[in-house]
Amino acid sequence: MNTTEVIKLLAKRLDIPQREARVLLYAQFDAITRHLLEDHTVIQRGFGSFGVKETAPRRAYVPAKKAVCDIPAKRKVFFRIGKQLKEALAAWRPR
Amino acid sequence: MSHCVYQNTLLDDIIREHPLPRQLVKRAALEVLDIIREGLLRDGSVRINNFGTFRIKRTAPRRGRNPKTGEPITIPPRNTVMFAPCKALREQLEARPVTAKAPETPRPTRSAAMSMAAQRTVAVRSVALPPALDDTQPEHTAQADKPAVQIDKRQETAPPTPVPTAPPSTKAATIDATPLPLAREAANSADTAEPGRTPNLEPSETERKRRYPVWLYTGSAALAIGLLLWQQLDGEPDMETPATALLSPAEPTPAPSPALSTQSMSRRISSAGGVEKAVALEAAPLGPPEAVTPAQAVETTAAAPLPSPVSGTAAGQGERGDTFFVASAHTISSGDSLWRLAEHYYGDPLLWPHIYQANAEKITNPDFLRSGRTLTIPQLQGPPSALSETDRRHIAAGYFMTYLYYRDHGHRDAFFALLEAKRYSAEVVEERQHELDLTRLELILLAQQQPLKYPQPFRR
Repeated sequence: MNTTEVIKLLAKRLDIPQREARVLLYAQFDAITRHLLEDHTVIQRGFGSFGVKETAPRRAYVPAKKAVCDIPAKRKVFFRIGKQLKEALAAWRPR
Repeated sequence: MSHCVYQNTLLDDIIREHPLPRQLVKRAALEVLDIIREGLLRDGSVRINNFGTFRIKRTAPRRGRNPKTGEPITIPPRNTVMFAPCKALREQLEARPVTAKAPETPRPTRSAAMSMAAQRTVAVRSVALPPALDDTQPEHTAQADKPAVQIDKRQETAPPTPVPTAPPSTKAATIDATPLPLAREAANSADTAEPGRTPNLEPSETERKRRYPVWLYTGSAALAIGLLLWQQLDGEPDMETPATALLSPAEPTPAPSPALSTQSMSRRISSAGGVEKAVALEAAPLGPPEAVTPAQAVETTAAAPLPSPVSGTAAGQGERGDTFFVASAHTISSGDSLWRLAEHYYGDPLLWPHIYQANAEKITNPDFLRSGRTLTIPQLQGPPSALSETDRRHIAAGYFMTYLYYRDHGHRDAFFALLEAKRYSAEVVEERQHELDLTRLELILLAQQQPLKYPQPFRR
């Protein structure tokens, strides 16, 4: 499923035009993004939580180059699944 | 570890940007999560543009031990959701150096957001101002022509995009050279011209650094402001472009009369079927009048046919006294907007603030009409091409009200409304000068001064 489909569904369910649905959708994720950039943890109850974690710098071996390289410290986004979503997905099986 | 943000905070953030009923925003937010869940169940993955991809991952069964008893058990496979942030988000996060202890950045306060919005308005403004108007027109059209459903407003509130494809003209803005999400808007063009994706991925430190010189600017401009105000509000209703200033060094150039420009505008609009409003820019060099277009309050797709104007406005009313249009009443139905009503009854959509001003107690948001209410369509003494002084003052007052409303709601078009008010009647703006917010007016006036870097002719 891609953004367009999400927007279409949202517009249908809220009975609003798609361009409004698009604004609402993007506003929501932009808000989340903004908080992530400030290292906040965003918690969506029943869905999951988004957060940022910092990784330590480390040294890794690149098999292709047969060399060791340094990987700098980074910020990474993590998503932790919420309980309800997890239960809802329990029956899912890969095709 | 750090600040946790819950649904309510997110809703607050969204509403701050898009002044919408909280109930609607909340329902939308919950629906989005529901839809993502369904999408995951259906396809196994859901992609949200400019945010990231959710994907179900099934973990393999593995051996483990009961930590209490130590007996070996098999942990069954389960489904979990992986989230892969989009490239832009990843890069923005990595751009900031990792500090051992990230200093707690203060949440953006409302006032900070407002001032940022103001700065961005200035950026838009200064983009529009350079004499080479042709270059900037398309972008303006993209912004201005948008059907502007009420939510569509306030594009600039979202922090600026790091989109590298921002138009080169944006670089001309020296006050705040933040690239605006114009490129994107242009792509979205008329039908969806909303903020679109403004990933607003921006480290707050750089933002602060960038803002610092701006306020330094304004501080030093505090002296210049008096002069500017005198120039702007006193003599001429319009700002001189450098070209005109050079052409007539001795006497002050008479600004293009609003009547003239509206006339040509309405002519163009009617000839182009109301589509090509961009051409009107030529007539009004001051600023894009479309920028203050009242949004289509209710969806125009419905486009309910309006009742015919009272006895063929133009010709019919011409003979009867001096009134071009006799006051009447209109009951709002779906698809109506002030813009549309003005176009229908007066033949010139740009006169919409006239209606707004006459119904001030019934309309709070000029971009949003409640269907079922009855509006007074005030009389018009002269045709739009030759407005009477009273009409002009009313229209200016309407634009001024729009300015106040837009300003208080952080709408980016606030200044355009103010400029329009000044265009129709400079006195009205002057009389209500005490209502202006000078801290922000400074910015806009500064922006207006930008193109005037050519040597000014010496005036005796």
